[in-house]
Amino acid sequence: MSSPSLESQSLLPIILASLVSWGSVSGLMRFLQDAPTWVAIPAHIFFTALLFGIVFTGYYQLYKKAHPFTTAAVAVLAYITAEIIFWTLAFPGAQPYRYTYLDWVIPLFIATSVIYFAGVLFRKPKIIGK
Amino acid sequence: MKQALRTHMTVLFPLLFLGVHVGVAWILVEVFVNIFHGLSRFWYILWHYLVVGGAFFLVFLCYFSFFSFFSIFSTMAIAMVFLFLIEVVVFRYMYSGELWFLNYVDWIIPVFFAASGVYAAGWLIA
Repeated sequence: MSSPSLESQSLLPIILASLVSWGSVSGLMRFLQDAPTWVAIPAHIFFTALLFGIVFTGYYQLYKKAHPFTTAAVAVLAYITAEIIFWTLAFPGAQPYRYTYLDWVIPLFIATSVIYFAGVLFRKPKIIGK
Repeated sequence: MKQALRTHMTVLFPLLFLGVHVGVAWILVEVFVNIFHGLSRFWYILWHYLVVGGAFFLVFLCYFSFFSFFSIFSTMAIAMVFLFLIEVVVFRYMYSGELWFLNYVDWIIPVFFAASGVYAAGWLIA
């Protein structure tokens, strides 16, 4: 497997794909803001896996040689930057989920995993065994 | 001037202090990686996860026992920022070998265990 490299990849499409996924999940979670925790947390995890999966499958169809690790790393940085800008600086306290392990760390890990494995499955040439 | 300096120090000191704890945990993990990289792939991965989770858990158990500058979530988030900074500085500017470990099994999962270790330590102490 080749080592990940930022030089070979355009960052803007990754950032856009990450922001579209993150914005869609945040938008859906606003509808569930008053839902009980046992509904909101599984829904957050489910929407994260679904939307990041769909968007990044599309991304890898367009950018077939994108490296999964580089893509996941840049997408996660964009995700965290969006969190800081929107829910910490611009609209503090308005985030549609809580900053806890189950409601934030797990969905972020799921998003990272989905982005990475969408790349492993859909990029060309395929990366096998990673 | 003195007031501004004091305000800066009250923010900077807790941040730097947290960063030092991340540095200690990171060094413990690197010691493991450097000594035990010859293990079979299966045992290396297993021990890597245990050492990463364990090192961050134990170091931050000490941290949370004595300090509470930030909430548990904020401590974990800031710790991960420091971890990324250390990784970028070391592997971008001080390391010239292959970056073979930048993959899901050897990097993304260990970072998740590191974050979980910090969070678990804070949760346990709280």
